[in-house]
Amino acid sequence: MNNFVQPLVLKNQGNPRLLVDRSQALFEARRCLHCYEAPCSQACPTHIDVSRFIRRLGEENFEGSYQILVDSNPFPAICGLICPTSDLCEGACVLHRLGQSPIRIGALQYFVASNFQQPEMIEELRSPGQVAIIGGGPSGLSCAVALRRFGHIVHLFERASTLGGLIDQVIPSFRLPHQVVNQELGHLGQLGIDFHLGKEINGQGAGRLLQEYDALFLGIGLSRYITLSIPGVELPGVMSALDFLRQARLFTRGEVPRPALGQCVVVLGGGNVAFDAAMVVKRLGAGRVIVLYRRTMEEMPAWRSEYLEASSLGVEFRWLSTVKAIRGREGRVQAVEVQPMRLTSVQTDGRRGVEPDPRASSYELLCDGVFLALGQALDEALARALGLSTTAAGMIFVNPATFQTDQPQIFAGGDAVNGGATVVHAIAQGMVAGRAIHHWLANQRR
Amino acid sequence: MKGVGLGVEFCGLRFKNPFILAASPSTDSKEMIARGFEAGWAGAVLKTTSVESEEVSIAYPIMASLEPGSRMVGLHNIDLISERHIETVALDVIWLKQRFPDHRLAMSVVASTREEWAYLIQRAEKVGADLVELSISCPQGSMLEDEETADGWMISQEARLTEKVTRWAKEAATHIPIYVKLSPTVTDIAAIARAVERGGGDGICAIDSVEGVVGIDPGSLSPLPSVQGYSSRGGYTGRAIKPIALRCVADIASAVHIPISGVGGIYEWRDALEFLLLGATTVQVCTAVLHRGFRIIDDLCDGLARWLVRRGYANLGEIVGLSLQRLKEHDDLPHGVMVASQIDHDRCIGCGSCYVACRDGGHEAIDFGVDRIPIVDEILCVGCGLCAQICPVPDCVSIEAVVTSAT
Repeated sequence: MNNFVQPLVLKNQGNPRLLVDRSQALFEARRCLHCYEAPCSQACPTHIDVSRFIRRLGEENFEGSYQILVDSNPFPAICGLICPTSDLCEGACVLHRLGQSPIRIGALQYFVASNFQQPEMIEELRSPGQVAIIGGGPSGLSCAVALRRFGHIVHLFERASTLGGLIDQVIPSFRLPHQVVNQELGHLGQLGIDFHLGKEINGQGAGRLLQEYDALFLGIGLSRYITLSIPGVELPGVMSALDFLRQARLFTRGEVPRPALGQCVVVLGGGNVAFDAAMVVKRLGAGRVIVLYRRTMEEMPAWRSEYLEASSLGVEFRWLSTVKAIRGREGRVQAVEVQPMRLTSVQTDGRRGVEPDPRASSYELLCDGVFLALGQALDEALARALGLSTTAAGMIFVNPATFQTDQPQIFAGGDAVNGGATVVHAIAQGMVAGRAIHHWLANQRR
Repeated sequence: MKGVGLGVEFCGLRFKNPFILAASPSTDSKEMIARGFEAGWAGAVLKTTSVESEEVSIAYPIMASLEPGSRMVGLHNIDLISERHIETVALDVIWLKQRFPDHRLAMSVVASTREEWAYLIQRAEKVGADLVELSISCPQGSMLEDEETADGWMISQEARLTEKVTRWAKEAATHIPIYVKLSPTVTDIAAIARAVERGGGDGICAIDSVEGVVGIDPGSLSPLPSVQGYSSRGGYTGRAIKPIALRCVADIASAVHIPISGVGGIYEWRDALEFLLLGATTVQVCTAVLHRGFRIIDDLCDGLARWLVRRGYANLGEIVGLSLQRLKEHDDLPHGVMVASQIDHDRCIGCGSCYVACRDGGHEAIDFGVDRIPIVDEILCVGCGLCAQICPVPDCVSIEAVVTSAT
């Protein structure tokens, strides 16, 4: 075991979010204007009462501050680190308009949540409902927390042997250290949720759960990778960016050897997964990392903060570029053939379409690794077996206010509903769904 | 600044500018005062001293504050008078007067008996001090037993004692001007000021620190500053006490004809200007120097001089007391002019602070919708001005006369 390289990612790079100590936190808290119906809270998917948690922090009522955080979001330390705050709460801070930097809400939240965790108080219901949850990622866990706080009995089924989903398995450790995940997920132990780990639920199993439980929540994520049907995609050296991130995460935990790295890696895609994979492979030592995206910076779905961070690490970008073919030599990737693209008119999804640029010819880009980050899709088997409707985009259809599917007993949230957003969006949906299930159960008994 | 004089006269003595270092730790060593003079301060009051038999035992730490740090609201101390007695301080006076003959040196003294007062004043006169400040208002001292009631009093809280001590001092002095430092914690400071004038005092210095308890540590339950878990009532100074000091100076200026040295919360030239406009001829500074150092004198002088030039005044004497006549009894204020809040929507950042303030502390006259634009209802708004004070944006909210259009 000792020949594993130390997790240099964490050791050498630190966390990209500038954190605060106690005195810095108190100083920063005093800058808050405590806006009425604060824009930061409105911008937060979980609607944390930011003004109030910051006021209590400033008053050195740290435990009270933590209570405000967990009331809205059971994973405040994790979100404090990984939320794209400049696009959410901090982006909404009115101090921008005074020509000042916004309150560092993410850093304050992490400070409170990582240092002042408090035990959960559960009041047991006299006749609780029984709810099954499929999926132990952010939405499923949040739904479980919300339901347990009402006193319902919750059984959660997770295919993997650990909880957390993307939080635990994919998000790069330079962004989210393992100990933070362990601390906050470990906190769930006291809630009295019945966890069934390593337990995959298929369509038949889900049907049985429907019989045994009063309600069912699906937080199943998007487990099918979108891939390309181009020559060479089967070559060793071509892999999904998500799988690479999983390996990298295990490596930094010391659980697997260092993943095989190319000297020059091409990443295909313009989402956060593409950027995360590009940054992690760069940090792990790849000489050159080039992200190819078929549209432009304007259309890319990745958070702007991710793009800036990747740029500062030396990741290269080529916009309006896609890959026509992957060339190999002696069974290894040797190059990709890049097809320049051009924008066309606005499509139904609001973004502009693309097509190959007839005036530019394709060219070869030498590389020895290719990561595909083209997005994920819903594994529809479960939804189909349960008779759930899906949207045009292939996601589970829900009432956006309650996250109830068209089968009243079944609720769903997270990536399987929203097509893949952030952890905090999944958490928010799990919390809303949990409350909605509670109210639905109460109405059923009336 | 050329072309404008900052020189002033106080108790018949010329000061090259109105800024004097108040009796404090800053003035408890000749070397520190020398540095202050070199920096540009016109005068200094040496830290209060007394006779050799007076025991001074300071318990440390002596400092605490409200809102510590760069925007400190107020500084609080449980300091005592100088641990150096009259003979030591007298040597400082000789040393300083040799080197700085044109700077003004006051000795601040406190005593328990008439004989002691007389001795201190005669020593001050002998060694060449320019003035004597009677310290009869320090919250941590300045006590005298009333011969009639046998109660211990802070001298300046009792008009009769104030007059008596002032007279003792004047009778002991042959030529040195005697001025008296007063406490703000009295029912009627004008009455005390008149007592100084009756006693023959040449001037008044106001205000001394405000007696207070600055805070309690919720951990140890000890008041602050904590001396092994205990504290005593102390003297509160700095920005927080300026409004109290200004009111006292105005009261005194309206009551007596002797000159006033204003003190209490002066941090910058505008603060000093306010004291002058209410009738002070010199000002003393302590907390700002403790906070920012002697170097602030340049900025105090520069700001004040430039203001005088801008406003067309040739010297400082012209502005003393100019605002006094504008401080009226409430009944005499111009009533009946309709004013209302005006919000500059180009500056507004949409925080909603004005809305909350008006809703819960005003007249429910501000509307705040989902567009986050505060709208003042001119019918409901009385122009109380709370919103303008709450708004975090400079020059965003103003209180303006309501212009009613002819119908």
